[in-house]
Amino acid sequence: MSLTVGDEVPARRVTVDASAMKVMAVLMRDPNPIHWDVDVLRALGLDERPVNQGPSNLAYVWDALTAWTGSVAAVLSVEVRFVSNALAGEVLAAGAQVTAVDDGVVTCEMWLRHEGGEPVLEGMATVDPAAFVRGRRDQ
Amino acid sequence: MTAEVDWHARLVGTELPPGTLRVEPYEDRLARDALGGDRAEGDLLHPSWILNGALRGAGHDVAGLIELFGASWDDGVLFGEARIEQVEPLRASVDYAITGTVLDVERRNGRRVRCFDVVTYEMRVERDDRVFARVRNRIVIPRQVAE
Repeated sequence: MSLTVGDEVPARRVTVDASAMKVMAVLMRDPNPIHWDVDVLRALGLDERPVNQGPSNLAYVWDALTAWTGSVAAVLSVEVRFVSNALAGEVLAAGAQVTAVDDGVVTCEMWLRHEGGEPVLEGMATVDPAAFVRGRRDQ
Repeated sequence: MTAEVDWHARLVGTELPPGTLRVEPYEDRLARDALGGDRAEGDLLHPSWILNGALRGAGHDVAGLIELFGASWDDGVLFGEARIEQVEPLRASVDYAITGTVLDVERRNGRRVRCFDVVTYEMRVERDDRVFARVRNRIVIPRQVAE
C-alpha cells in the first residue's frame, strides 16, 4: 500500500442518536445521567439534548480509519483531546489526513467536527501500512 | 497547600483496583449498531472496546474512579485527553484482566475554572501476562479554593 503525506481518509458523517447513547451507557456500565436523562439535564441548567459519550465520539473517527485501512489491526495508536460536547441530533464529520510516513509507520492528523467546523475532538493516529487489507470495504 | 501536595504525592503510583473484561459477540454487535460501525472481522471486537472496556472492566465503576481522586460527577469532572495503544485487537468471549496505575497529578489554575487538578492514569488490558492494549487518560477535576 503506497501512502503519501496529504492522503485523506474518506470522511464519515454521523448523526448523534439519543437512543444509541442509552445502549452505550448500558454496555459501558456508565451511570452518568447526562447521556440519557433529560430531567437531569434540565435540572443542571444544560441543553436538554443528551450529551454523547466521549468514547463514542472517538469511535466515529476510529471507524473512519478502520474503513480506510480495511482492518481493525492496522491502527496502532490514537491520541486525542476532547474539545467540546456532541449533542443528540447533531451531525458530525469524522476524518483524518496523512501527515508523515516514517519507518513503516503512517501518522495521521484526525478529527471529529461539528457541522460548522468546530472541533469535537482532535488528535493523531499511527497506522501500520503493512496491515492494510485492500478491497475489504468493497466486499 | 502542604496537605494537598502530600495528597498528590500519595496518589501517584497508586494501583487501581484490578478487574476483568469479557465482551460477548452480541454486545459487540449492539455497540456497532449504536455507533454506526461496520460489521465485525470475525471475532475481533470494535476498537472502542479498548477505552470502554478498560472503564467497564476496571475494579470500580467510573464514579468510583472519580471518588478515588476525591471528587464526584457533581464537581464537573471532564475527560480531557486519551492515548490508546492497540498492541493486538481484542476478541469476543475472551477474559482479559484490567489493571491500572495513577501516573501523575498536577494542580493548575485557569481562567474559566480557577483551580483544577489534571490526573493522568494508565489502564492496561492483559491476558496471560501479555498486554493487548494500554489506555492513558487525563481527566480534569475542578477544585474549590478558599477566597
